[in-house]
Amino acid sequence: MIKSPLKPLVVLLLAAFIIFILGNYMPLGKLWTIPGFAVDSLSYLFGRFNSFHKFADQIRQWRSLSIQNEQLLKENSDLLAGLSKLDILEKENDFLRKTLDIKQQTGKGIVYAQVFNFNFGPGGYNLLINKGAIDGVVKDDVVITEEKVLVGVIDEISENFSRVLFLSDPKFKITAKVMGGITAGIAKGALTEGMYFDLIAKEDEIKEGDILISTGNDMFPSALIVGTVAHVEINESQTFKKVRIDPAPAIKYLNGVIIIKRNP
Amino acid sequence: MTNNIKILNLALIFIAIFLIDGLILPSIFGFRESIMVLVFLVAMILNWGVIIPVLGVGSIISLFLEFFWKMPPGSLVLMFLIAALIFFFISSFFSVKRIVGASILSLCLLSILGYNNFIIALEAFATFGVCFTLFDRVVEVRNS
Repeated sequence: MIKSPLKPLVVLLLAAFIIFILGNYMPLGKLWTIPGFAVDSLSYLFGRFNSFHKFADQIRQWRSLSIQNEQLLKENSDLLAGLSKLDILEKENDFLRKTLDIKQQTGKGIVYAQVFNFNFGPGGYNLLINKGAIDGVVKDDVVITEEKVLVGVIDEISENFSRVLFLSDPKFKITAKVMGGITAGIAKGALTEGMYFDLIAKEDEIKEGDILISTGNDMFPSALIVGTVAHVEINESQTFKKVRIDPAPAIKYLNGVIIIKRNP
Repeated sequence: MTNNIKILNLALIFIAIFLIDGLILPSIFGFRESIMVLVFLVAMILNWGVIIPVLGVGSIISLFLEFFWKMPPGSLVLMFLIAALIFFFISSFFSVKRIVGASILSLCLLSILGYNNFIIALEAFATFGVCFTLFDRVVEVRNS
């Protein structure tokens, strides 16, 4: 005779509900620690597989190499022109810094970490990295790539790993501006849509392909790359433009990340 | 049916799906949506119905995922058990075939995520198929 599952189902539901309620008041999540060797092995494997992905992608893109080469040559000449300008600006900047006695560096510490799991489900976008409280990571530390592309912020910390709130998560917000322009607003995560750039008035100058960087007016350092403007929609009946952002493409190959610590 | 499930094999299938979902698919193919493990949980209910071993294994897996993904404690277990309760009531009125259930859920996912993300719905449907095949061949003890 098969027992009716209704009774154990109701008991389990009650138990889960009690755990859920208790979890809001007690830090039950902090009791859990993934063994260090498991975190290290997962991050190592993730890195190896990611290299394979890069390699396969490069093979797929061989046809577009000549077009890319032309683009790179053009970008190279643009960068050289920019560098010569930067050289002059750097000297001028150094002079001004010394004059005003401002610290040359922010003095903030950094931690290098490896990604070992992604959780990009409908409930939110986040990833796990192999550095935690024992490495001095604290909540709201900023996570970037080596190319200064913004990845997100530390949301939760365990002893030896942390959860990073990805910039496409709806809970994520940052003040950003158009690189080389004056248009500024608030970029917010929008899951599969990437991000939305809010508070952009109709008369503000913004177009598809513009790169957005952090302004530094909030907890994030300035000049971090946030993403590229993917679509601009103007509705005559609304005050603001609807601007969709594609998060920066370097995130596609996310493997190693840098944590900028709030406390030096 | 209760005694015909090899729990160890079921756990091994979960570990394989968990690694494919969190490690291999995102790193090699760029699939970042962790949908396979959630589909696995639903596939257990669709395949065997609401029975005590499914409730036990599903709750333990949900609890593990909550801690691993750092979700609020109890949230995923609660969702799993509510899904089981809904299926229990539906199956007491209608006879739901597992492939029909899987198709309906995949189509629901497609309509929620939009047609640009049809690959996710396809991944979910394929995962249902793989889970059902593995459950039949590896997890269930055959009487013959």
